[in-house]
Amino acid sequence: MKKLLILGMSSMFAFGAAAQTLEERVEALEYAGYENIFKFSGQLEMRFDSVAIENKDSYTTIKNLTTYLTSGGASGTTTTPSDDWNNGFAKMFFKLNMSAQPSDKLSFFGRLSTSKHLNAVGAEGTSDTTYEEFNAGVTPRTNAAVWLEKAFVNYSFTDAVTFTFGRLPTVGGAPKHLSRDEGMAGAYPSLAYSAIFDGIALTYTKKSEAGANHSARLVWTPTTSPNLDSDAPVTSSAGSKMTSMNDWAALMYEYESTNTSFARKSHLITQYMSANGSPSSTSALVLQLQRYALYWELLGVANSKFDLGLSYSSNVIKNEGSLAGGAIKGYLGLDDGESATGASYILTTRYAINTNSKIGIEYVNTEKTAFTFDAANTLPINMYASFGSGYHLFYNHKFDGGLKMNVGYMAFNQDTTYSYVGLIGDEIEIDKTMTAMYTGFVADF
Amino acid sequence: MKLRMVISFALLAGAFSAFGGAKDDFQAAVKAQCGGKDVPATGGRQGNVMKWKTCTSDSVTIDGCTLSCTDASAKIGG
Repeated sequence: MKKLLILGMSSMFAFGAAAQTLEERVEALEYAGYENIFKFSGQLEMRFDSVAIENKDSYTTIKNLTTYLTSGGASGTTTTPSDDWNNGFAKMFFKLNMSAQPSDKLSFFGRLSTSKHLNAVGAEGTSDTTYEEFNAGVTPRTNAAVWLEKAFVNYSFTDAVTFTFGRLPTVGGAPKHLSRDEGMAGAYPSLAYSAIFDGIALTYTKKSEAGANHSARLVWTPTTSPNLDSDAPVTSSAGSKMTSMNDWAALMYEYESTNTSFARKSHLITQYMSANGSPSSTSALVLQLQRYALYWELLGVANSKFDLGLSYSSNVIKNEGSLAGGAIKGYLGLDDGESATGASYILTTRYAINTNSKIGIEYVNTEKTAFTFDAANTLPINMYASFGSGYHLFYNHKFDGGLKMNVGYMAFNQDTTYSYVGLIGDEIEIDKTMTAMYTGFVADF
Repeated sequence: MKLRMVISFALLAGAFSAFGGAKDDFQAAVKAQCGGKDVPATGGRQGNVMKWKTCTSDSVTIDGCTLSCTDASAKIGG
């Protein structure tokens, strides 16, 4: 009996000690969870491209403006039909995503990116850094520099009103995600303005019990031209003092609903954008752009395996001033004070062969008076920002466990360009055919 | 016995705070989007909850039901 009592007490002590340890461990786990507010995820992609260019006409463009002006206009780069070429590329893209939610009201999202050519042991030419701020996170370079692609916080004043500031998720917007079989990556539709923007935003969201969301949003993303030598305003090439900050803003409305009578999911984005002032720092050429953009996506149309995407953009562009004292014309070949209206659209359709494979096509058409801009293009051909029309066939296959393969074929016929950076100077009619094939492997982790 | 209850409660509370949100979100999505179809909220890294939570596409099909995926990092204002 005595032995039994001792054994019982020993068991109780042993159990108590173990239980205490377990309790402490649970508590430690809880606190560790509270402390570790950061979450990380990432994506690694390697892609191999084959690109062919065919020119049927000869035309002359300006590669270096200073050299061009010094030579009295004799140093233009002439492209002739004999300049046709085909070439291969190998590129790598890396994205490290991070997020944190320190409180119910505050959340943070960030992304560090690297886009590079593989093992670039030599490179010809110099890259234009004018718009680097907008695109360096996604444009392949010859080194493995890491770029801050986004870093922003959302603060919820109420369930409906959210204040956002930082380097915003505006890049890589719809419909780019459809051909990659990914979720929508950027808040701005690509035809609205495809670039990385810093700024602030205020969003009002109304959620219904039926699962539909209405969102209205005001975004302010001023462009700046700081004087790095002093706080004085930058002096333009025409000699006048320029303001260091120009207002760029967007007004957006979004409607999302699931399980509608016509689609499993419907997502509509409308956007008005006003861009006042040139993003080029010391140029006397000033851009005034008013843009209306629409994107409508239907996933699982009429309970089928088809998805549809419609992108449309219309802009009014006004050109103020001129470049190099009027030596060449302004934006889209316009003179000082002239304006133009243009439009572009993209139609995308996709079919789910099975749960792992999708195939689709997108058709792009851009008028020569549309101010197209896609600083965030990663595909072999910059179809969204070229004047003309073309198509993109794509196929995606997911392997179990987070690996995906993207295969595509692109063909675009460019009918217009402008003599300087493709957007400024004399309008030039061309007949240029670009074709490309690519195969990429994407790992999400 | 009391101690066991305390431990069980602590484990339950810890588990709830760690995974309850994701599971609740998953069940709400199933209820809204699967038309009455029952898709179990299975746990674990390869379970249904995490399949949906870590989805990188616009949607994921689980047990015959296609669920929309959301990514707050791609949206201004969440």
